[in-house]
Amino acid sequence: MEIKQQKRDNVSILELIGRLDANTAGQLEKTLIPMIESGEKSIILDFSNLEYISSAGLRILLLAAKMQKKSQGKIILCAMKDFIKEIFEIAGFTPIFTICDSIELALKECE
Amino acid sequence: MEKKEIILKNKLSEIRRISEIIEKFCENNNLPMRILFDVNLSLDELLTNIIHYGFGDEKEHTIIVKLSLSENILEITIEDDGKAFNPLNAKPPNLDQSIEDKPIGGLGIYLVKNLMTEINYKRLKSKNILVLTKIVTNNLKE
Repeated sequence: MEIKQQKRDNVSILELIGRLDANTAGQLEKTLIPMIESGEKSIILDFSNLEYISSAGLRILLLAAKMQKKSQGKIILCAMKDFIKEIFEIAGFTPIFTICDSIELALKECE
Repeated sequence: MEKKEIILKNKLSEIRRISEIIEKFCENNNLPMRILFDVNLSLDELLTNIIHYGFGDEKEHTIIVKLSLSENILEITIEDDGKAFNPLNAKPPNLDQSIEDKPIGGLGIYLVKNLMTEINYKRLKSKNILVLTKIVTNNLKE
């Protein structure tokens, strides 16, 4: 998996490209957790090029969401492919994240 | 009927290898992307569990995965010689829990149960034999 990082309107956007599974979950953890610890209130995860997610990936996202909840921050997920959205629904994760159709809508959530 | 047997070692790197074999199998049989995703995710979750927790020793073990496709029924059998483990007995997560109370982990088998049409388990001659069935519906073929 490749993680591309950028800032728009002072909001960090992480684009996840490829597969988020047991092999790559650690990579996301190393990028995302320090951002939360450094106090970033809104973080957008762009899923438009995410091709695959397994429970190992969901695990890191839940960990991040728990930390953000404590620090009253937000994690916004956007541009999910349908089959990935379905995994979120099965896992009961849709109510705990803000999920937007596009980056633009995700940025509006941060205003 | 299309059949394929894949012999894996108990190493996590084998999961990536089998996902490529499944991709070819689905491509050769014109199975939709959706089936490929569901089967790969299910195998990923189950094989990760077997490799991580199934064997109480450091030895090399063999895990056999058999695929068979007949009409619109895809059957996947996973055989391992690890400790007896019936994934059907795994406790389902409580989806109504608040974010603070949600435990980290424990979702893998639950995902498999939801993605597959049917799952059967038996313990036979010191082996775990898990049979996953997935119906390929016309809806998914489109």
